Amino acid sequence: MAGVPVRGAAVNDLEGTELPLVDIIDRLLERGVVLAGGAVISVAGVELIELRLNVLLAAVDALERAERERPLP
Amino acid sequence: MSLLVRAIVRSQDALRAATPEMVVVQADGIAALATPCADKPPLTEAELRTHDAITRRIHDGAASLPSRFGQVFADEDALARALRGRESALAASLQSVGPRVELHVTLDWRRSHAAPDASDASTGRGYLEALAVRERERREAEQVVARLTEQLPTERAFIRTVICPRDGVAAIVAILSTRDEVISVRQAVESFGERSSEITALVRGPLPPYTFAS
Repeated sequence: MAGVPVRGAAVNDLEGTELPLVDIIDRLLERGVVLAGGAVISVAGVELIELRLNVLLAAVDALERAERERPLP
Repeated sequence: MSLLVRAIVRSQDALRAATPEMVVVQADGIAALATPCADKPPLTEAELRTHDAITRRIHDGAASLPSRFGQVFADEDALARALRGRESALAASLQSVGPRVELHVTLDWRRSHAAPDASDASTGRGYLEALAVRERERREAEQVVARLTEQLPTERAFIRTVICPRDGVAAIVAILSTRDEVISVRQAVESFGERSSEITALVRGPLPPYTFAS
């Protein structure tokens, strides 16, 4: 499966601190090396070929959650 | 079973960087590290965080280019063909980035920033005023970033910036750093944030070089 378990302490010395979800989405869906023209990701059972669309759909849910978690100014 | 690409490494580093769960696909001087997956990997927070953790572990073991999430290939042959098609560019990028790591800096405005959305304006004047506020905020953010980068011990080519990515955030700055420089870069950024009356600076990392891998 896609979610291969990550093993123990050897995970990284690149810091174990979790990034906020909004930054995870920004980094992992918009950056990083691209080998093929697009990506196939399933969102709620719907197959999406166009990565930009994925970003938008992901962002809606993730940003709503991020906003809820964000402290008020 | 399809293959979900995790990262690209040099061929000589592939076996060292891979874990037993991974499939290594070689193409000339580079190799892709991938994991078996369903045809359509679900886009969930857990899957994204797993990908993040795997790419961190790979980059900790060897210089790598982390893959954008969601790149699936039907089998090893398909992945090898894609690798061969970009071998020279990827090898050059690997050479350029090397074992450097990325620091992810978020510059948040100190003051409350509720810049109006021009698309919400009900009049032409309101629309133009909202645009002007947005533009002024962008200019201020650019000036903040310029002052920050002047104080970093980092080549300008290794700094990438997104200005005003969302409300309340002046900029996100990605800094590519050697591991030896991480502490000094972090201190420079944090010191800048502490002295600034405009922004706070939050440094996360070191992380795999996503911003510099594409």
